[in-house]
Amino acid sequence: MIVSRNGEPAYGGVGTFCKAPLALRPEELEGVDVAIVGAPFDEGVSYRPGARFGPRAIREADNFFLHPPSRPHMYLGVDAFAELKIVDYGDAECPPADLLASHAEIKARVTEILQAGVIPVVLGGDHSLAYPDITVVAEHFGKGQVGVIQFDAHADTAPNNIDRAAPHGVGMRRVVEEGFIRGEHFIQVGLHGYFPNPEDFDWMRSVGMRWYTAEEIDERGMAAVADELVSTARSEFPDAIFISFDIDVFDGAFAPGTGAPEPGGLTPREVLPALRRVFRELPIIGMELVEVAPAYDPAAITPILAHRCILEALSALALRRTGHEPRPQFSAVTA
Amino acid sequence: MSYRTPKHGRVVSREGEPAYGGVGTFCKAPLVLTKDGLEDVDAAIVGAPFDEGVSNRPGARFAPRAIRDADNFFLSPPFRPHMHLGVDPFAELTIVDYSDAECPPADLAASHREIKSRVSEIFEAGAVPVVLGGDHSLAYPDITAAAERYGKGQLGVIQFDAHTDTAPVEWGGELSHGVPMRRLIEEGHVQGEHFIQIGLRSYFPDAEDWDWMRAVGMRWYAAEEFDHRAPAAIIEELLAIGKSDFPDAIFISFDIDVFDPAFAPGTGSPEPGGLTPREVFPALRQLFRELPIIGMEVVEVLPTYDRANITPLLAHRIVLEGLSALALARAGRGPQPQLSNTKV
Repeated sequence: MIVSRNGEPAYGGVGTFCKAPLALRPEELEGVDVAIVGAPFDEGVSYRPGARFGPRAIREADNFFLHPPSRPHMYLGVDAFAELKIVDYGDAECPPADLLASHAEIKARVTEILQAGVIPVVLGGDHSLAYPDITVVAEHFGKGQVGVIQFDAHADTAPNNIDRAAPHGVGMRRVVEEGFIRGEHFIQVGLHGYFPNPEDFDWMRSVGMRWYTAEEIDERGMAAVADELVSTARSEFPDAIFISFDIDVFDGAFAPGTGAPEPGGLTPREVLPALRRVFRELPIIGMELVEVAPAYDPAAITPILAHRCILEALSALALRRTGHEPRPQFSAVTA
Repeated sequence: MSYRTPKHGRVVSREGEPAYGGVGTFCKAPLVLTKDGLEDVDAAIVGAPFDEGVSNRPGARFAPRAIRDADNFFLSPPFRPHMHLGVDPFAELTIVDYSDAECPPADLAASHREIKSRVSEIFEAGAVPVVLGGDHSLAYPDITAAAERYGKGQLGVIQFDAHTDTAPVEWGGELSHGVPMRRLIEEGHVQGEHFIQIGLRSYFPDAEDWDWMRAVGMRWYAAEEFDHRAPAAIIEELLAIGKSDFPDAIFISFDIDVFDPAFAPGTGSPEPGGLTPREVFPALRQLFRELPIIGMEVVEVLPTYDRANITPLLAHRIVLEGLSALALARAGRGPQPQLSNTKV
């Protein structure tokens, strides 16, 4: 369903993602390559709430483009909207004040997307979203048959020993302990801060999880880390990999609008090329982007960055589908 | 205190008045309102408070005042000793604040005419204009005024920007901020081979526009290239091109969105993955020191979107870095950094 007039500016009309067509029913997913779907809830946070406003803010963080959508990537030389059929699947019907019901709804929507053979891109919401997202992915591709690459400041591997429903600090532990993902098929990128506890790091090592801290990326350089990450995933991971992207992997300077900002994070110039490599070189079957809390960010630079992460991923996916090499828009000085 | 009093111009501050007090001219420089007051002036700051040319967030009309107010702890009369260059632009140069052009609200063409008149007056007086935008549609009146002064096709342009601003006029009107660089070249004011852009990123413009840019000989360095090559090497190359291929008059068009939004959130179309102040400051200083810079504009500062005022502070610093390097060039000596005992 097209919900925009031709020539309508990004800031006008109805704000689907990049003014992509809106789809509300599973049968509208036929022939689609990628479906954006929102998960507006934040009842899983341990600190600042506000990520329920993330999906709408990310959709609205578009700049001066017009309908119909076109986003030619100046470095890859590909237009995601020309190569892929991308739709906005609206938001899951997350009811306020009921985290488990929100998880059930988002599971249902992501399952519909996967069953249609489409790549879901889920806009959180807080990071407790990982549990519903990753469990449905594992149910679809096979329990233990999915790899996860997580960009995050936080490992989210605390034990779920506080008797709460499903908060955002424990999702990765649960999906490993419950057998949805094997520890050795799990890599985390960008960890920093004082979480989790040493016993939790011991547990992570014992189940075979791997990670690159922000500190290590500083010491080795992101290009070298990305090389190793891609080659590990290629040789050891299953043929279906899910990306769990927490915006707080970035330093608070770049992403102030988030629930638990951690100083000493990564920069967009480190992360965006790495994210493109992952989408271009690995079999990515879905992605979530979580923890954007727009109320803390008056200039909207965090939703703009989240929007850009998705566009970069979709552009690289488009390039993978074409089989082309990148064709940068070089000028005479660099050609 | 070595402070050069202009022949004309009004000192609008009491001596010892702090930066945050009194009337906010740029660095408390003397105020000049008529063109006869520009005699013997080296550099004139002038504001262009309008934003009717934007395709996305408006608000740059408040920038000239915000940039002037974004001064820190200095007192009147102005002095700013640069700790790396070893020069004080207010000691070496006569700098005045030419106030703002009379940009009427809701009339972009009239705003452009007014700013062009004020900038032409500065050029005619032999001074370097530093124009505080305003949205980037300002480039058209600024650069046409420069080309009229120095000769059509006899002007180079170095643009710091996330966006090329080379779209064809299809939407948003021929005066909008997305098209001025294309119009300037198509109308012959600047030749494409005398145009270099630095810091490009985003999903703009279209493939056909890139082809057009290559066809007319424009050159650019994408932000991405600053990760693949050392920034210093890029700047060396840029300087060499400016010296060998460009005319003897070069205008700097500086869009604050060349910086990453972390450093400049208060802008109209922020683009992630931008440059840092520590990359841009040395580059800008080298341009002003080693190339014949005849004017500069600083555009697209939107104070309303900012928190902690860091974007106007950064824009203010860009102007000061440009003026300091210009002062060093005029003084005809090398930098004299304040080195510590660990270096000497």
